[in-house]
Amino acid sequence: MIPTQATSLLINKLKGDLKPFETISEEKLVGQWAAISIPLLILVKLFVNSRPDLTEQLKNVEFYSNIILLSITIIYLLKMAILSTIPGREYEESKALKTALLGIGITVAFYVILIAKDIHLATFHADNGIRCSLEIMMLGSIPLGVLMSLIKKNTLFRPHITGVISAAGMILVGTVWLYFSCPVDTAFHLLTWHMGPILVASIVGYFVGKLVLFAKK
Amino acid sequence: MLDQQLQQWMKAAQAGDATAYHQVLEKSAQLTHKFLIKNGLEPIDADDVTQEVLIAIDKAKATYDIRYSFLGWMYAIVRFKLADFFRAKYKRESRTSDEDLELLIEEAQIEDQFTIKELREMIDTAMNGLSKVQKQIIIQMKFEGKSVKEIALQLKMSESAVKVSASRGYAKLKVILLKEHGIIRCNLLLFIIEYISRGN
Repeated sequence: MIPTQATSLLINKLKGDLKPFETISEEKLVGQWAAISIPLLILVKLFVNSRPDLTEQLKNVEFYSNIILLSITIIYLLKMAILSTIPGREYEESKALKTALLGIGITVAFYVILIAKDIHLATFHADNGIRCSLEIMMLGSIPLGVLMSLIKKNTLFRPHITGVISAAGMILVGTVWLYFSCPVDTAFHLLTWHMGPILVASIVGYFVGKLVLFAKK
Repeated sequence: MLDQQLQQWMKAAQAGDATAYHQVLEKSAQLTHKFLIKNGLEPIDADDVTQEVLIAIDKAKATYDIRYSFLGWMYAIVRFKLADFFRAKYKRESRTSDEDLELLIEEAQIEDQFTIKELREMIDTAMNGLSKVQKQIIIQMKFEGKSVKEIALQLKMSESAVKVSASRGYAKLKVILLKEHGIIRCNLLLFIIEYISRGN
């Protein structure tokens, strides 16, 4: 097939406008995200009090395993968010949805088992809770903002999906960060006030993602 | 083989080689057009979507990673653009009220600083570049809402001849609009023609 005249004109125009360009690989984006986000998070953390039992917790295997597990999830979501903006590399929507549901299911099951084992863990700590959620949102918005500004240059065919994954992953960064300052370890508190913001952010990300990602570059 | 060739051209294009980039775009246009026709698009629509794909390829070129298949990357863009096309088509077909048209006209005026009368004049001027038959067919088909059968009867032509003439005329109209007004306004004017056509 020979391209129509309009197509040929367009090809010539695009060819004429060509300038040397660099590939934006996912590794490069992850690197840039880490290089900007981590120092900013450390800087913010300097102004937030650490939990009183931090020295003790640093000797606790459960504390480490929680952080490692959540960090793996963050890396996985970060990769998914970036890949969702690269044509041909994105996760299938059904696979992404199944993974998200599985993640939520495992988290809820984990806390339900904890509560069932020891009912006194089922304490809400509502006063601290609101503060925790707000801190998580504030801390999470730093890496989220960095990620959004990096990926908005990419191809955004499914901004809703990108919005959900980015928001969930980056607010989870705030959750991990808060492990170092919030001393309340009751299951209800963690499930409601530490994990709740992730769910809220994911819903907001679905609706707001498109607006933010398509805002003037 | 083809994929590797395209990867090589893309690599050269990254370094600013315009000839290699031309090959990439031309081959992509051919493959896309073929894919769209296979998926049931009319040649006119396939041309439009092909151009959308080329623009998307150009915008997204930095996201192509030489370590992966070029065709996988390109067809992902094609699939998204095809889905966009069907979505837009469905939307257009379900929006026919006069209020919507007025809104569109309003948007066009704000966007382009031209009144709808001036935009219509641009279309009319471009139509003068078509042959008499092509002009007649496009006016009847797009603005008067006549079917191919009705036009064929009136002009004493076969239905397939009317379709071919309409397709060529529309393609020529696009070239004229593109040359005279640039890509953005050309698309706006074509959108207005299509909108009027859907409303009939």
